[in-house]
Amino acid sequence: MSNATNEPSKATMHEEKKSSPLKRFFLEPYSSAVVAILLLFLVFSIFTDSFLSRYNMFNLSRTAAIYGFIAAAQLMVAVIGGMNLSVGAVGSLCTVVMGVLMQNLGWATLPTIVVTILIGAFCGVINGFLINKLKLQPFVITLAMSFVYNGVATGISHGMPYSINEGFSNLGRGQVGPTSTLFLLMVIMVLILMIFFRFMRIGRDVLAVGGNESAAALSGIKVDRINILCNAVSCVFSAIAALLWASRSGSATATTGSDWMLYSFAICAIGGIRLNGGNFTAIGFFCGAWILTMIRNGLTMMSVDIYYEQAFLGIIILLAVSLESLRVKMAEQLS
Amino acid sequence: MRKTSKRLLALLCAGVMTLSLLGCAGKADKSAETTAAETTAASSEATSAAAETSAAASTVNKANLTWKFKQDKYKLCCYWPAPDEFFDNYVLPGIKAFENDFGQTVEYSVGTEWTQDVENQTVEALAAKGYDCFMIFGADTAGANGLYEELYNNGCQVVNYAGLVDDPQKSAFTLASDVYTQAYESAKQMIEGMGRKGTIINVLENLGDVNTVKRQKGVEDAVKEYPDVSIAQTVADIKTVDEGYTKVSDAITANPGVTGIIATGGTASKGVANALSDYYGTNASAAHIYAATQDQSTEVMNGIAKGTIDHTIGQNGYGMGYVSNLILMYLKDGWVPKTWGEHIDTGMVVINKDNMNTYQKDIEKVTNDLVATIETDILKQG
Repeated sequence: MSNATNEPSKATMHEEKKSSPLKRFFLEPYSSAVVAILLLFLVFSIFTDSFLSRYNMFNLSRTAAIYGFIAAAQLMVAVIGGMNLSVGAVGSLCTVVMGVLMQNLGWATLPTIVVTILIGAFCGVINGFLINKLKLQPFVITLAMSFVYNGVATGISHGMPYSINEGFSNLGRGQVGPTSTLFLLMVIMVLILMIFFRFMRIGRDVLAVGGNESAAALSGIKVDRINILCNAVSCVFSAIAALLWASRSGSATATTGSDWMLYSFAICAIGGIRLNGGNFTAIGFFCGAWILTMIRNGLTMMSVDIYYEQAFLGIIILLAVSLESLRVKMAEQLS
Repeated sequence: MRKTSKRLLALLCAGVMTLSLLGCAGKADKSAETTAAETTAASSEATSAAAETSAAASTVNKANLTWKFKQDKYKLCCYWPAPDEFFDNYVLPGIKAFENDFGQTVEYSVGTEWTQDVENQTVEALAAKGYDCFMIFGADTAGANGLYEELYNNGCQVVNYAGLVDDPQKSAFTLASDVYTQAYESAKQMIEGMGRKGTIINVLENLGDVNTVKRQKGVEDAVKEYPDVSIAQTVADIKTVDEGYTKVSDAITANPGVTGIIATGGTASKGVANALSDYYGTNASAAHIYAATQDQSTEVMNGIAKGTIDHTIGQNGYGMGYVSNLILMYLKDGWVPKTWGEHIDTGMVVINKDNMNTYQKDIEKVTNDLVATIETDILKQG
C-alpha cells in the first residue's frame, strides 16, 4: 500500500499476490528499514535502562517527527531526481522570520505560522524557477540560494536568538496519550504523502517525471510546473520543520538548520528512497526518520566513549543501510 | 518570445547582482553602528541592560597610563568569525568605550562562518587595505597561528582574543578568560550548591579544541575534590545549539536522578538552557537539577531569570574589546611584551539571580584593574 513507483504490470501484481507474505515483505524496498528499526530497538532496549522510559519515548517521538519533516523537504525533490541543498538555509530564514514576527512585531501565533510557511513556499518557488529557467543543476542553484537564505537570516538576526510566544511552545511540548503532538503531525504528514503519491494524479505525475523526465514531457506532463511545485513543497516542509523545532526548543535562532542538509539526505537514503527519483515508500521514509533519531539517542543512552561517538554513529548507519543490500540478495533468492 | 524572456531574466539577474554589490559597498562603513544598535534592541532585557551600560560611557581609570601615544590615529582592526551574541553584546561595547576614551576608530569585521579559511581571506584583505593592528579571534586553534605569523611578517601587530590558540602562539598576547579556572570554579560552585553530593552531567563542545580540553580538566579536577560527587555522563562534540539541546535532553533522560549539569562552553550552554526549559516544561513534577553554564547569552539569562539555571560564568568580553586595542597602540609605538605570547586572563564574574542586572559593574572593575597593569606588568618599552 505504501510503496509508490511507476505502475507495475498486471502480471507482476498477480505474481506478488500469489507469493508468501514474507517474500512480499522482502521484495518491498522499505523492508530493510523496518528490520533495522526493530534491531536497533531491541539492542537499545536491552543495553540501556532508560531507552524504553516514557519520557525518552516522548522525546524520541518529537525528534523523529521533526527529522521527518526535514527529510520530507529533501524527499519532495528527490522523487523528481533533484536535490535541495538549501533545506537548512530555508529553515534558518523561516526561523528568523518567525522570531521577528513574534518578538519584534508582536504578531499572534497563527498569522506568524501562515506567513512563515508562505516565506518557505516563496523560497521554493524561487529555487524551482531558477532551476527551470537557467537550466542548471539543482545542486548549483540550491547551493547558491542556500548562501542567500543563510545570509539574509544572519543579516536580519545578527546571530541573536528570538523569544517565541508562550502558547506556541505548547505545540512542541504537547502530549497526546503516550506520544507527542509532533508525532501525530508526522503521521498525518506521512499519510498525506502516501495518498499524494499513490492516489492522486499529480503525485503520479511527479513520480513519472522522476522516473523519466523526457518520457513524462512527451506524455503531456508539464515538467516545469512539477519542478516548481516540488521545490515549493520542499521548502514548505523546511518551514514547517523550523516552526516545529522552535516550538520544541522554545527559542528561535538563525543557527537552526545548520545540520539539516545531511540529515535530510541520510533519512531518505536509509528509508529506501532512491535519490535519483521515481519512487516513494511511506513506511521506509517513516522508519528512516526513526532510525537516525534512535541511533543518536541510543548512543547517548549507552554513554559510549565520547571520543569515538562519531565513529559509532557512522558504523551503525552503515550497518543499517547494509541491510538493504542483504534484502536485495534475499529478494533475488526468494524470487 | 522565449528568447525575450531569457534576455529579461538575464538582465534581471545582472541587475540584482549589481544592486547587491552596490548595497554591500555602501554599507561597509556603517556596519558598526547599525550592528550595535540593532543588537541591543533585539536582545533580552538582562543582556541589553549590560550592553547599554557599557556602550554609554567608560568608567575605566586611565590615570595609570603615562605614555603619550605617538600617532593621532592608529589603523586598528578587529575580526570575529561569525555573527554572535557574545561579540555584539560584550566585546563590541568594550571597543566602543575604547573608541570614546582614546578618540580612535576601530574597523571591525564579522565573518560569515567559523572557519580559518574565511578568517584568513578576510583578514588578509583588511591588511591589504592598510590596517596594521589586529585583534583577532582565532577560528582554528592551530590554523590561526599561521595567519598571525604572516601578519607579523608584513609588519602588523596582532593580539589574539576570546579564546586560546595552540602553543607556541604567534600573537603578542592572548586576552581571554582562563577557561580551566572558570570551569573549575563553576564546577565547585555547582557542587557546593548541590550540597556536596550527587551525580552530574558534564557537557562539552568540540573535543579537538584546546579550550574544551582545559574545561573538561577543570570540571574533573573539581569533582575529584568531593568524594560524594561523580560524573554520571559526559556528553561532547557539540557544535550547534540544536545539537546541544538534543544531546542534553537525551543525557537527562538517560540519567534519572542526576543532581547537577554543567556546560563550560557558550554554545553548549545555550543547548542546556533550551533543554532544561523543555524538561521542566514537559515535567511539572521534575526535581530541580542544579545547572551551571557559561556566558551571558539570552537563553542562559532567561534561564537564570526563570530559575532553570542557577549560575553562569560571565566572561569579560568588554575588557577583551577595550584592552586589546589599547595594547595594540602600545605595540605600534614600540613597546614590547614582557613575555611573548602571554595569556592575559581577562577575569570572570559569577552571575546568578541576585546580580543578573548589576554584574556589568563587576566586569568593568576587572577591566579597570587590567588597564592599571599595562605599563607595569604586561608591556615594557622596546
